[in-house]
Amino acid sequence: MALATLVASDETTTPDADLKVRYIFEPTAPGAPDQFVTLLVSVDPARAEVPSLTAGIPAANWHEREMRDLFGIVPLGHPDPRPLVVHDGWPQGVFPLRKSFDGSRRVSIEPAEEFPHLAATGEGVFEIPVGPIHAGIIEPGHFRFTSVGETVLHLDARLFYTHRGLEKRMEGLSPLDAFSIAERICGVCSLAHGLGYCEALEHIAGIDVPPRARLIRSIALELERLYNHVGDIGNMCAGASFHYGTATGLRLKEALQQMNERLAGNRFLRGLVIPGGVRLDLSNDVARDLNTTLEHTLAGLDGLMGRIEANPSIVDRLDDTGILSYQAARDLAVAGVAARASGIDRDARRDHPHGAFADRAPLDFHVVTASAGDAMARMTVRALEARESIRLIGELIRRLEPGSLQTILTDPLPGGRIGISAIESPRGAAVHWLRTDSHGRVDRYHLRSPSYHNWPAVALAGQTAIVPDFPLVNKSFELCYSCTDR
Amino acid sequence: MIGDRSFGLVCLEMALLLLAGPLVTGTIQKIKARLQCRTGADLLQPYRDLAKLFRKDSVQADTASGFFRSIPVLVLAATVTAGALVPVIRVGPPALPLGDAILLLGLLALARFLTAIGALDAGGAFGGMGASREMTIAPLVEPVLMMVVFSTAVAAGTTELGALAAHRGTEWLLAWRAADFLGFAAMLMLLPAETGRIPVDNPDTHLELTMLHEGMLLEHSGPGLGCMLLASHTRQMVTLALVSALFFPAGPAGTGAASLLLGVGTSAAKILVLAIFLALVESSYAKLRLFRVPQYLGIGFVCALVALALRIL
Repeated sequence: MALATLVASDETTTPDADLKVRYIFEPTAPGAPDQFVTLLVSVDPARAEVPSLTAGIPAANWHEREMRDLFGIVPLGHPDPRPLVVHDGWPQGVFPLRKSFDGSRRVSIEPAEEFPHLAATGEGVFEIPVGPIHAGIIEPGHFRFTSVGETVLHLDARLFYTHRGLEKRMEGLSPLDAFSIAERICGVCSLAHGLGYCEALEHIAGIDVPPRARLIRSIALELERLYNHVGDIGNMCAGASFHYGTATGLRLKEALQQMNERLAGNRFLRGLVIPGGVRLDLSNDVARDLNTTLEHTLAGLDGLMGRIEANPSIVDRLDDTGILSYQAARDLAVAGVAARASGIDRDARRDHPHGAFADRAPLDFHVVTASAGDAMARMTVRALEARESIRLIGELIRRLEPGSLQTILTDPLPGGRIGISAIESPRGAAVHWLRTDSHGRVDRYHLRSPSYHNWPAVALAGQTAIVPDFPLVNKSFELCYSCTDR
Repeated sequence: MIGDRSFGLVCLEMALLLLAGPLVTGTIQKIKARLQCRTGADLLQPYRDLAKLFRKDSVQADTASGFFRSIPVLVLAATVTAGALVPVIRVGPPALPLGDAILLLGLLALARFLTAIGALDAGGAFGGMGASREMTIAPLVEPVLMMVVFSTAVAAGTTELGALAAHRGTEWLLAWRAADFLGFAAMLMLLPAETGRIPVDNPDTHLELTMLHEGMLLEHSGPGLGCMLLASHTRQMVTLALVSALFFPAGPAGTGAASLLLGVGTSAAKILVLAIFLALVESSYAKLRLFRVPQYLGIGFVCALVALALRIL
C-alpha cells in the first residue's frame, strides 16, 4: 500500500459537526485490483490535532503540513514545524479552507521574519538562493542550496508562490461550473486534470460515458502525454546545453500543439472533454490529419533519440546525473515517469483504468520501466512512452465506432457523495477527490497532482548532483508548479 | 623590433577588431540558428542589443562598492588595448614598439581578473559562483595559450606578434611541422574555452546555476553591461585574430589602398572560417560536465606541451 492522497475537510456544518481527515491509500502490488482504501479520522474542531504519520510514511510530509496551514489541524510530532502553503506574513490562526473563512475577503499581512530555510553549516559552506524569480520564462519556486564548492550538501525547495486558492474557489459552485476551474489548474496538464475531475464527477452522478467519447478522451490524453514528453526531451537537452536537441524538441512539440488546435480548437486541448463525455467529435478528416502528424512525430523522435544516443557528450551529461533510488521513490510515493525510471512499475492507466482503458476489450499496452533512476533513465522512459502513445493513438482511432458523444447529466448532482479518480497525466497519476454537499454542490475538491509527490524527490536527486547540473536534474523530472500550488 | 606597420595602421586594425566583434558574434549566432532549422536573428542583432543597452540607465546592487561602476570600462579598455597587439591587415612589426604576445595575454588575463573582481564585488550568489568557476578554468587555459604562442615564438625568435607572423608568412601549410599541427590542435581546443562557448560554457543559457562567464555579468546593467558585452565580442575577435596571426598569417605586401582592402578581405575570410568552426562545434556537442572541463583542457595542454618540446629539442 502507498499513500495516494490525504484529504482534510471541514464538515462542521453537516450533522457530524467535525473536521475530517481522510488518508487514502492504494495497493501497489502489480495486478492489484483497482481500489482505494480510505482511513477516516474524525477530528474535534475544538482540539484539532491528529498524530503525525510522516515519520512512518514520508509521503505524508507535505500533506500534513498543508493540512496544518489550510485547516489548522495540527499533526502532532511532525518533524517540520515550518509552514508550507501560506507564506511570510500570513496571519496566525486564519485557516483558509475552513468553512468559516470567507474566500472573497482580503486578509491583512503581518510583518514577518525571514523564512527559516533548512541549511547545512560548517567551514566553507555557503548558501545559494535561486528564485522565486528566474531568468527564463518559468514558474516561480525558490531553491536554497547549501554547498561546498560545487557539491550540494542540502537543497531546500520552497513552492506555493502560485497558490490561487482554487480548491476554495470551487466550493459552493455547481460541479458542472467548477469543471472550468479544474481544467485550468495547470496549462500543460489541462486535459488530464479536466478528465480526472470529470471521472470523479461521473462517479458521483453514477453515469457511464458512451464508448466513442471514452475513446476520444483517451486519444486526447495520449496526445497530451505525447506533446509533453517530446517537449520534455527537448527541455532536458536545454538543461545539458545541447542545442540541436532543444531545437528539435521544440519543433516537434509545436507541430503537435498545432495538431491539438486543429482537433480541439485549443493548443492545450482545453474544452474537448466535458462532464458526461466530449464536446467535439473526431471526424475522419481529423483522424487522417492526426495519423500523418504522428508519423512525422515518430520519425522526428527516432531521429532525435538516435542523435542523442550516438553523441557521447550528451550521454555523459545524462548518465548518473540526479539519481533517485528505488527505495526513496517508494518512500515518497513518487509518481509517473520519475517512478518508472527508478524501477517502480506503476501506471494509473493500468492500475486505475480510465477512459478507453476501462473498456471490456482491454488495450494491450506496455508499462515502460528502467532501473537506473538517473536523468538518462528518465529520458529513455519518456522516449519509449512517447512511442507507445503514438501506437496507442493509432489503435484507439481504429477502434472508433459511430455513437453518441455525451451522456446527459442531471443537475443538481446527488448530494453528500464522494467521487475519486486517478488519471495518468503526462507527469504521473493525479488523484482527484470530490465531495458534494446536501444540495449537490461542490463541498470539497482536492487534487493531488503527481508533481506534489515528486517535488521532494527532485530535492533528493538534486543532492546527488553538482550545482551546475541541477537545472538538468530539475528538467529531467519536469514538474509543474501550478498543479502543486493550486 | 621596429618595422613598417605605421601607427595609423595599428589604430585601424584595433578599430576593426572592436567594430567587427559584434558582427562575428552575430554570424556565429546566425549559423547556429540555421543548423538548428531556425531562422535566427539578424546578423546585426548584437549591434542593436548594444545600442539598446547604451541608451538605458544602469542599476547597481546596494552591496556593490564604488569600484563596481568602473569595472566595465576597465575591462573594455584592457581588451581593446590587447587588440592593438595583433596584426590583422598586414604582417610585420609595427613602426613603434607597442608590446608583444606576453603583454597581450597579460591584458586578456587582466580583463578576466577585473570581470571576476566585479562579480565578487556585487555580492550576488551567481556572480561569486561564475567568478569561482571562471577562475578555476582560467589557470588551465592561460598556460596552454602561452605555450602555443611560445612554440611558434621559439621558431621565429621573437614574441612580437607582427614579426612572428612575418616570419611564419614564409612557411605555408605544406611546410608545417609536427609542432605546428600540435600547436594548432591545442589552439582549436582552447578556442571555445577562451570565447566562452560550448563545450566549456554556454553563452545562450538563461540557467543561472550553469553559468560561467554570463554569471559574472548578471549584476551589470545598462551601459555597464553594454561595455562588458562589447568586451566579450572584442575578446572573441582578438582570440580569433591571434589564431590567424599565429598559424595563417598570409597577407598582402604593399602599401596601396588596394592591398589594404585585400588585407581586410583575407583576415575577414580567416575569421569567418574560424567562426564557422565555433558554430559547428557549438551545434554538435552538449556542454561538458563542469568537472570534465579540466580533462578536456588537459588534452590541449598535452598538445601544446609536446609542440613546445619538439621546438626546443
